[in-house]
Amino acid sequence: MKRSRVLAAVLTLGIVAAATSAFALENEFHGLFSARYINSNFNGTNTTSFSDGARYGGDEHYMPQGKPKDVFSANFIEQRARLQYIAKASADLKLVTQFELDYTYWGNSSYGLNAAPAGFSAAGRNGGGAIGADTVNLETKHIYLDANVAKNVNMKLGMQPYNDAFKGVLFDADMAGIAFSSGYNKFIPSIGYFRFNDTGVQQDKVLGHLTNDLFLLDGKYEVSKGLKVGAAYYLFRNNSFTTNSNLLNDIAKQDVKMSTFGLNAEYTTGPLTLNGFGVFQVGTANQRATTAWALNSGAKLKVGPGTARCEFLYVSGDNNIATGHSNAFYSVFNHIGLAEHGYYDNEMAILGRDKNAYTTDNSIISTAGNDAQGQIGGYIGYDLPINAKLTTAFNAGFAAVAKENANKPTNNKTGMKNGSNYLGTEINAEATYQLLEGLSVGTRVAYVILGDYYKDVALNGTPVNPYDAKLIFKYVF
Amino acid sequence: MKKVLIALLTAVALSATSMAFAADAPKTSAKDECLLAAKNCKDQVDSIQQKIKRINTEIKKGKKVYSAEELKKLQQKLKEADDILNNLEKPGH
Repeated sequence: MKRSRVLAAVLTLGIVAAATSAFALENEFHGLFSARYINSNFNGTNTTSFSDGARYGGDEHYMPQGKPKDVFSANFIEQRARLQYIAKASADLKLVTQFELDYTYWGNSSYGLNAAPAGFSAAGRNGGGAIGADTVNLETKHIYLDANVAKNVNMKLGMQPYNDAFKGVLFDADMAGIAFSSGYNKFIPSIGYFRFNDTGVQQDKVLGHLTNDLFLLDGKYEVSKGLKVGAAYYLFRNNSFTTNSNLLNDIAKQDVKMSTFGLNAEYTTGPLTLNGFGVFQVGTANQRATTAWALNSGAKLKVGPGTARCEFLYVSGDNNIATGHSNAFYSVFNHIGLAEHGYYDNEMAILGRDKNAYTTDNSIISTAGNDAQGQIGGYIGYDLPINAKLTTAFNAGFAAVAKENANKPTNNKTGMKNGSNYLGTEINAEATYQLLEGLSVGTRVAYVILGDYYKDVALNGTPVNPYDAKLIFKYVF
Repeated sequence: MKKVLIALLTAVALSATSMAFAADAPKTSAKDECLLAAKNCKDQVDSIQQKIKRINTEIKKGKKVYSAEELKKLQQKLKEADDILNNLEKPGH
């Protein structure tokens, strides 16, 4: 009898303890849903798809050369959901996961991989948007452990989002690796290692031997309340079957050893914020000795009821894409011809990567190195909030390639490359209205006046000026 | 012995319940332990926007309620919440 009472007490205590520890685990759910109607003679057309673009909404690069100059307008609806679950054991330990479900466009496919007839894109990733749905299209974006392993030392281990300290011109992607960061008063050092690709199975059947890796050191220092400076070193070593940084549609065995040094700074005084960076690269890219660089400056000024912005970006390029010393800039790509980096601070929608783009993600300058041509761009904008629920923004951009090379399209009438390196001028405007807390509806319209870089490169003349209009519903929670 | 044990268990159970009630009714001068140390989070289901708003409200209470170390921790939480929002809205493939 006495023994059973003790047993009951122990069990009761166990249940209470279990219940208490269950309370200690905090479950955090967040997510996003967005559907957008796109009307465009740019996105969703063959000027932005040089292979199976219909499947992924485009191949990222504007390529009107050799195609009819007039383009039918595309009309389609793209949809995305993101679901995030965070299991927080304590303030010092959590598991972060994030998943994504995309329909590149409504009506694209349904009923799985083998049910796509000719003319329809195959199901799978980004598929399942056609009648019937029923497609496995879940993408895993993040699975990583976030732990404060010692006082002032944070570790992130696993598949995680990570970006460079230079506005995304080098890398900004989900990547598997380990990163440590610390906070010593005003100094924040970071060290990390990431494995981008291991294509050993295709190469020498040895995993970890011929890979695409990044080692990084980064430091940020707050000199004063208004001035922050930073420095970073990135070592890129790519020995895998991935995309040639100098030519998007060249997917082959790479041999890259590139050291990248960079400095950045941000200064705020009153209504004015100035920022910028300088990046210098030295190394070899596919047996070519390379020195390359990028320079950026940006400014924001509160003026009138809104904020004026300006940005400038120069990225070096090279006249020769095959031999000799190269000045072509190296950035990170994956193994399917897509950039794993992006410069969004210029607020362009066609001339540069669009902040509203999902799987349909195309632009005139889609990569930092811009097919080894480099880039020179100046951008201005103005953010104008109308009231607590309605905000607007207006932007203009002017861009050219830094160097002409063999990747420049040929003028179909002269059989030569055009003398001009000017890509075009973009104007865009957007308005966003908060319908409910967390739910917004917005529109962004962009138009580009093409420069003479594209003069007569289409089959029958100069390509029509591209435009893009989006109506976006977005719910974030 | 049995009575003592029952009393002890009741006390433990009640203290857990009262902690949960305390979290339901935060006071303006009180610390938000859920934000600071993931404690007493039982009924807290915030959207990311609400979480950012809540952290900002706590930071505004300043040194009257929080120590310098705790304020630093809240600033860190704000950065984490901003990062979550940015990652959800991040463009691209």
